[in-house]
Amino acid sequence: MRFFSSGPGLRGLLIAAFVILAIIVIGSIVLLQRTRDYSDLVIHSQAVANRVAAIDSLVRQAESGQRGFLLTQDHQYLAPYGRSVAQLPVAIAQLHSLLGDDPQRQAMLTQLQKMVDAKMAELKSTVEAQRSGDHGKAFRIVDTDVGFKLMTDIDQQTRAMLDSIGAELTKRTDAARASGVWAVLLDVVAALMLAGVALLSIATVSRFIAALHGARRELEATNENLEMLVADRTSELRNANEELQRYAYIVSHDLRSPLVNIMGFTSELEAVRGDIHERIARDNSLDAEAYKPIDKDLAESIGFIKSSTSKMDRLISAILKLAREGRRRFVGERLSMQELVGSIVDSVAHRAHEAGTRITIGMLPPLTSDRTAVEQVFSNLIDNAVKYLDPARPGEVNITGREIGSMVVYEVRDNGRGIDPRDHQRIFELFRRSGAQDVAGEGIGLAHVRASVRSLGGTIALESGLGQGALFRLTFPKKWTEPEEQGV
Amino acid sequence: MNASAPVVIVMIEDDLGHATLIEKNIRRAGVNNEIVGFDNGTAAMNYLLGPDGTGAIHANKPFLVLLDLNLPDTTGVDILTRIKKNEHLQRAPVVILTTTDDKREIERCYEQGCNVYITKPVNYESFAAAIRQLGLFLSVIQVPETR
Repeated sequence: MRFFSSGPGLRGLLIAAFVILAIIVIGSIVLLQRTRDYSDLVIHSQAVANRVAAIDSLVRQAESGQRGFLLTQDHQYLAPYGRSVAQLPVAIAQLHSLLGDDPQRQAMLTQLQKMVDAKMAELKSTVEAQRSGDHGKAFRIVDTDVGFKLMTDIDQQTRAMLDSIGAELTKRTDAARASGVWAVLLDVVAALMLAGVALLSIATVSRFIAALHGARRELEATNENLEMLVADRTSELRNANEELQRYAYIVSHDLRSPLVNIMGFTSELEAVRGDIHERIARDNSLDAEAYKPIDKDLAESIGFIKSSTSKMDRLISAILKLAREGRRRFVGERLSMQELVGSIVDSVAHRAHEAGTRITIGMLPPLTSDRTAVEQVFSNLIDNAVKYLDPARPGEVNITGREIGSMVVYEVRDNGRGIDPRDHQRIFELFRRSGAQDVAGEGIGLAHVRASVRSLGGTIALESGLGQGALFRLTFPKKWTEPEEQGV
Repeated sequence: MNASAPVVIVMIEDDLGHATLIEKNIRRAGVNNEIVGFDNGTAAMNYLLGPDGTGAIHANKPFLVLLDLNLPDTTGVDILTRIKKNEHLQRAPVVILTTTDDKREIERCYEQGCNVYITKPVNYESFAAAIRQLGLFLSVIQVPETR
């Protein structure tokens, strides 16, 4: 997580980029609309100006047509005048509608219209007079200069209107241009901002990647360290284990030496007791009866010493055997478990038959392992199953097996007296036994079994309750491989 | 040297109790040969090799060596090797008497030229019986002729 905490953060950058894009899109649309509006206005203004100029031009055409007609009396010159008379009202009406609700210009147009109407009326009166053949009247009307003044007024009014429209046009054109410039500016600024966001993103991503690389290197280093640590620990453990086995060996071995003395001299004492006995029997002066209780005590003490020392010898022998088993090199070979277990069962068959115990062997998958160790394991378990029966029912022992992946599971099940769950750990310890101590044994078998199973890379599990029989489940790797020797 | 020279029993045993028990049982077996006892390897080798350290002092003298494997100053196997390498002593039979019944240890001793290997049993009767066998062994020791 700490890779994301430094800098603006990728998420923030992405949001910024989206906001900028939205501003560009919305701003561009708005500015485009505005530019178009201004363009429409500019076109409108130009249309208004054209119309104003057209009205002025129509009036002038009418005037020049009138002049030509007055001077030449040729009706041909009346054509432009006629066109103007026909078109002017239309042009003025169009202009009115173009100007819409622009009160100032409407007012100006109304003024202009009045002037135009007056001018056209003046023109009309001269043309009428001329037509009726009254030259004098027509020229008199012209001589009043009313027409000239009206024309000048119209020109002025037209110019005033054009000026006003020109100013407006300039303003609108400027606004349209400004709007365009704003759009460009917005685009440029947004583009710069986007570029900034992109740069920041790149920087953040590269920092993120660098952090990832760093983390990976760190992880690799840790892994390497871990492997070294594991190797170290493994070799430490192996050394400790070897030390322990050597220790067990030396201790049990050296304990034997004093035991030989105790046993030997106890026997010597016994011999001395016999000598004393003989001497008393021969010498009548001594009271044989008085010696009897002393002799009894002696015999009892010597008996206890002897039975204790022989027990001690058996225990020491057991430790020695275990220690030696631990030092023994295993040899992996393919074992037909059917045969191996079969021959073990044969060896206890007589005993089992006498006790009325039935032993059945199921399908046992083969195993590649150390023959002696596997034999000892099964022989101990089967021996125990036959040994610890429940007197309430005929014994039944069942040995089954199955393969699970790269492991093989064997189960030795009996319906014997069972083992109190409290003792499930204890019974695997050296010299520990469980339940009624009515069957001879030293408490070595299961300790030996567990040590062997572990050395073979397997596990042993126990399911049992008092009076419910026992199930020992052995799990071995299908193929035993010698553990790698390293760092010794 | 004459062939009738009595065999001297050299006992190298650091445990005094064991030494006593061994001697008792040898005597009980009716063997009256001289027993020279040592409780460490150095003293025993000094005796065997003599002041000049060559063993010439005991040339052609019949010996029987009773050797314990666990000694305070050296190992019994070392002493066995030195006896078997010495030209004057190598013909002396060496009986290893020890508490060890480790197969590899036994093999090693036989490889080094030990003649008999006896495990000291805690069971005294078998121990005594084993020692008494030595009496028979002594009677068949052939003393080598002078070269």
